[in-house]
Amino acid sequence: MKPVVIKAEGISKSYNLSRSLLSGVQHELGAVDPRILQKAYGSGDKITALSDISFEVRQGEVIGVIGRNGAGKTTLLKTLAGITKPTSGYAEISGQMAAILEIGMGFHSDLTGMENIFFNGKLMGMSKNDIRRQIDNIIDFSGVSEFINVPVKYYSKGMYARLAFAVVAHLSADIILLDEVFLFGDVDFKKASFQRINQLISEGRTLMIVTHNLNELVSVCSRVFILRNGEIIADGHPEQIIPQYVEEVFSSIHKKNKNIRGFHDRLKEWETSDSPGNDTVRVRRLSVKRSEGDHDGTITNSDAIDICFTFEKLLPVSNYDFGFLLKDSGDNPVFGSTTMQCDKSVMENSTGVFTATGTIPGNLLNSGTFFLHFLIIEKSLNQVNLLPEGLFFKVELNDSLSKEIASSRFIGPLRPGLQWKISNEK
Amino acid sequence: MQTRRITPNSDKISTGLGELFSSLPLLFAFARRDIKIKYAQTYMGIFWSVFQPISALVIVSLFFGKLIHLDSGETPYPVFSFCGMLGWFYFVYLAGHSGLSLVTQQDIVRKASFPKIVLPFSKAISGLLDYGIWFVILIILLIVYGFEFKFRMFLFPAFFMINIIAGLAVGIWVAALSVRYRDLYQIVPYLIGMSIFVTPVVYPVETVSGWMRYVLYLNPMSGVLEGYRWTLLGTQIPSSNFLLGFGLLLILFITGLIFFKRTENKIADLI
Repeated sequence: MKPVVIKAEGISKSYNLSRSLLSGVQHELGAVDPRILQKAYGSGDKITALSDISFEVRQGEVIGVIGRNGAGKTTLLKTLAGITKPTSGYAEISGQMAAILEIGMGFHSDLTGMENIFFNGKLMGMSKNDIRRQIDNIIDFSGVSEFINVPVKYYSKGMYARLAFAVVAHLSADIILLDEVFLFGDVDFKKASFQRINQLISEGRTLMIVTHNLNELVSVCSRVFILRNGEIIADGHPEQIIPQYVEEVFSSIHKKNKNIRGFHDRLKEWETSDSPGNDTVRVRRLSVKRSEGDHDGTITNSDAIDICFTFEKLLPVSNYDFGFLLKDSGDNPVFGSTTMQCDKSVMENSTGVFTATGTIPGNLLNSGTFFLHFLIIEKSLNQVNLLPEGLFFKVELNDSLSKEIASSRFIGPLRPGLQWKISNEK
Repeated sequence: MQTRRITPNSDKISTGLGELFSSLPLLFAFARRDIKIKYAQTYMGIFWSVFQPISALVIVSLFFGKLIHLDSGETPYPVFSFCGMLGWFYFVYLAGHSGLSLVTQQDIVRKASFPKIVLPFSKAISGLLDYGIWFVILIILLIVYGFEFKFRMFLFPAFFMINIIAGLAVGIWVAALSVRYRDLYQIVPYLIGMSIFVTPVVYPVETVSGWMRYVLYLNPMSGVLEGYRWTLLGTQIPSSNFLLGFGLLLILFITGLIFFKRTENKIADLI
């Protein structure tokens, strides 16, 4: 087994928000026991950012840290990096560590790309020789070699980000902590960054990455921490952890307010009075269910799924179509489908309540949480109306499959059951 | 493999100088960056750094020397006052810039992990370029006015060191306090500027008498400038009373380092 390189033991961190002159002086002199202060000023002045965090990271592990805003992700990184001190507990770091809370740290707009590389590299703990050895690689990677002796204020935002990430990508540290560094850049650059990160991983570096983009995370991490209110509430393989995270985020949103963000759990019905729609068509009901089953119960990846769109036609017109757009938990479209190709004779030139059911075949979707956006298409006006409200549902792996894939990793929103054939080539 | 331990704030008293010495490359990187930024996008670059001391020399010599007739004894007044300004302007630069170094670079302070004491100390290096230019002009003046080489000139670096420590002592205290009390940002540059009145920059110590003389003795920069003039210009050897100011300075410097170290762990949380 590889050696432990980061060991955190009971790390807690709280901030004292009291700004009074007196408490400030007392704090700086360190003369007063914080418990007395807490009594005097009330615990309302204290914010707990991390509470009792313990874990061990072994060499070569790639940890993803996810959690909602304010969960303590950045504070955890800052504490491990020694930028801020824990209130209690300790951490032991073996090996050289670099913490990247921001790419392009210390970049100055008046300095040239080259000058910024050197300063930025040193700030992140590289020695002059390290930088000299890597300088050609850094410039190559950044793709701004023509402008390397031009002040960075003349760079485009993309060039600036590429140069900044290039230094990070060539750090010599054994342990690298990254905080939300994939925010910039075009597709090509993102691809290059991921290649580079994979390369760092294959070199046996230990990485800890804080990010919001769940899909990117799955593809590189070997282990994921979920933080909530300063605690690690889950720690494990991303395949198991990420569905749990999405569930946790959406169930808490769901509890708070049924209409927040407009997504409902598998079923939504409207009274006639407040249903969405226009003078011709009104939406009555949206639902997701297993084709062989009801609205409750787990949907697994081998189940066929019915997407049902119930609406009332108030006028006997024939120029309407219905459909949906399926997105994954990272808000990336998976596919869309409409009634355009289907036989609509039953509803043509008549009024009444109808249900359009689209069936997603079994063995198509991967496990995960999916979001449905519903569409009403007015053909005569060439207009597509997206309903403000939608549904979400969760697909879980059925047991036989999940055992089978335990050794390998499937990435992406789809896991189609393809036809395979093995033939003998002679 | 070295193992680093991250623990809550300890009550151990430390000056943090060990950390400083292990981060010297970063200190020089900060200083180089300061100098490069200073001359970025200027057309005449270093010319301005030469123009400043020469204009100061001319203005002060004319105003205090010819107009007000400040008596500098046997020493020609331009050399006398220039020697004072050499040390005093360096002190002003160092105290002001190192004092505000944490606040002006708060982006880096908040996000990078390095011993923060590097920042105020780096200003001692970045200030050296200007100091060097002033010094070269002073040497030229000494030659022009026919000063001869004396062995006591070898004592000059000792006073130069005290000059650095004086600037840093003020700077480190201000830096540590400014993290919490941003008010200092407003008042400190002004106060440092006003200190020229209690420092014998353009006037000799002898013109001050009575209890006011003791204010000068307690001001370490007075001793530094007297030392400069003694070693370079051959004026009277500084009174031993100036040791009072140097003693005070030493206390201020060491307590400043300790205080800075104590605050350092909270800097990222507070700034």
